[in-house]
Amino acid sequence: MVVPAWNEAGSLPGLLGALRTQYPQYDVLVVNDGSTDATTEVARVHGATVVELACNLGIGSAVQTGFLYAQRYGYDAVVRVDADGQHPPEAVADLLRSLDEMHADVVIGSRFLEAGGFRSSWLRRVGISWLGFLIRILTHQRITDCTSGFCAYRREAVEFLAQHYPQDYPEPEGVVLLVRNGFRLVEVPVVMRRRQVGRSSIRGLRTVYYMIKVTLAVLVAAMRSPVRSLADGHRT
Amino acid sequence: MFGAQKFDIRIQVIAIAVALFLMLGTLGLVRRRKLGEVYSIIWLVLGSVILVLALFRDLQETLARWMGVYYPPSLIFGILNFLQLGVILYFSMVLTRLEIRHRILMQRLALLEQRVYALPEDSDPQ
Repeated sequence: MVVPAWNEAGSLPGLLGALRTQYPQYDVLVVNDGSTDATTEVARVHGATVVELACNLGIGSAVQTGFLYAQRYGYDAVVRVDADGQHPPEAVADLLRSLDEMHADVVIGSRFLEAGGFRSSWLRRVGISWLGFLIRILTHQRITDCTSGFCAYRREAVEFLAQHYPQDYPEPEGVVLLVRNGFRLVEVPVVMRRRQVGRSSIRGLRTVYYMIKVTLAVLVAAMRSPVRSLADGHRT
Repeated sequence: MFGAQKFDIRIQVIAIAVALFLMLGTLGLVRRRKLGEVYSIIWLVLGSVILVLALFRDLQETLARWMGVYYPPSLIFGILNFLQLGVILYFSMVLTRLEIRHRILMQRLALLEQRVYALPEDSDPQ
């Protein structure tokens, strides 16, 4: 399990404790994205392996560092769990099970597939629908929650993303990239919670920047030719 | 007529001075290793373009007429503007390339540090 963390010393104990009790069989990697607080020490005390980036590279690069780690040590699957408390630890098992049962390369935990849980503000849902609409036009795949970072990845997807994962706000662009390269994505419903600690990094003017940047990134991602030959994509 | 002529000579002198200042300044920076040769070429070429256009008034006027520019000295600034846009675009590309390399370096370093941290204490070769 990969937990990207930027100044999350306050929220890590709860999450890491829950992950360790519920999933003693899985390893937990915290990617410290250049925090200025005690993120590394707290994570180590709570039994996680820590990879520490020397400066803040942004969420995309932090998650990619997790993929690189998983690739290097040969893990079969990776689940990204965010430290802010929105991603419920108990749903990790659902994501991993769906990876096998639905023969998927990537399973996305969606807030919108079923009613219930924290569903973000009205304005954000409009933004997410717009990106989902774009993605459906560009890839012919319906993704209800393309901004969700709560995802499970099978080994092939991990190895691919270790090389090609997008920067900054990676989730919607990542969806297009994966579909275009022949990976099979499925969504499963997840009941998310309101963030426990801190507030969203996407607020104020950054909301506008986020929409412009991600819209552009999604369009460009759809214009790029696949990096992976489609023959690799159709395994049995 | 004389007034216009005098004005033209003044702008010509200014343009030549700017060009020489730019080129000599560039060479000085390269000499003191504050600027790489690769990037100095850009500034030397920009300087030469200004210098050539400033020195050869006939060339300037021919080019200006050909491009539909009514006031020939402004041709210098027009051309300069386009070249500068190109330079800025090029620098954005260099910046992007540096960011990518920097990211890869940081990620490799982080994974390496984690490996060192995970080594048992007594495996220190010292």
